[in-house]
Amino acid sequence: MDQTPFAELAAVDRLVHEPSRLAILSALLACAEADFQYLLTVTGLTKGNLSSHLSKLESGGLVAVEKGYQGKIPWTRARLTADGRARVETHWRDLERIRGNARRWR
Amino acid sequence: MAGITIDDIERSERVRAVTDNFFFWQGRRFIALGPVLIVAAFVTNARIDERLTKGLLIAATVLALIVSARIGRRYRAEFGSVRPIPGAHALRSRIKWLLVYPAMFASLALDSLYPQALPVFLSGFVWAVGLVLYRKSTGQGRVHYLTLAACLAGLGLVPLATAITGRELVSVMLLVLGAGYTAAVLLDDDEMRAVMKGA
Repeated sequence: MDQTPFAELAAVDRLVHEPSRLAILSALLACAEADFQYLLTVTGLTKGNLSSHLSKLESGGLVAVEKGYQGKIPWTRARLTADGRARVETHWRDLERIRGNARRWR
Repeated sequence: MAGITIDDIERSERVRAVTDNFFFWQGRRFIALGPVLIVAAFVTNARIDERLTKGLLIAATVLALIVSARIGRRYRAEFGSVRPIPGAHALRSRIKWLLVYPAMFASLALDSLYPQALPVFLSGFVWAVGLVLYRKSTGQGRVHYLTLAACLAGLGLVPLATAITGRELVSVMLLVLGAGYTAAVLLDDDEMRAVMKGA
């Protein structure tokens, strides 16, 4: 018997497949890099939570984070690694397929 | 599993579309273009000195660019910034510069110089298609552009029902476009905020 769309969802990449991390990765997939402020806005997370998600994604090899100072003002920028970009693109293809299946299943 | 839903997926899809076209979704950046078009509508129709007309248009354009840069800085402070993927929209740029813009200006020239050549106001249709393509190529959403495009296409039919010529309709179109565009960019800003802030 075919899997239901819900069973398919349970089998996807768990590091990517979390609402806030999916929003972070979706934003990063659409650009070369984004700054911390932008990711804060699109996720609606607190600074601490965003840092925590970025650390997990960095540890998982999906995201590269760069920090520095412009004068006395600190900046943080994030971008997808080559492996991360490939995994997120694959994940999006899976999501689009699952969503299509969910529509047919309804 | 952290309870991801189809809504989360759709929101992430919108975030992706807005991020990919972030520059174009910062509506207020382009707000000065509306008044520039309105000024253009009046000066092209008024009987004033040609040098004064050009001067007014150049001054309005320079002012629009200054306003755009200042508003861009405010957007950066509020929303942060993204660096686009180099060459990601090369095809869009080629189509825009080689096909859409030349067609828009050619139609405007045809309607202005040869108003009797066609039974319709060609610019109305061509500029409507330009708006639809703009919306489609910069992340969809923003249905107000379809409304504005429908208004322009409606202008295209005016010569069929009235004695108004294409030449006269050029300034009407610039006026409609200026007012409509001003409203549209404010709505762009609203829609971008709704996507960015998860509404």
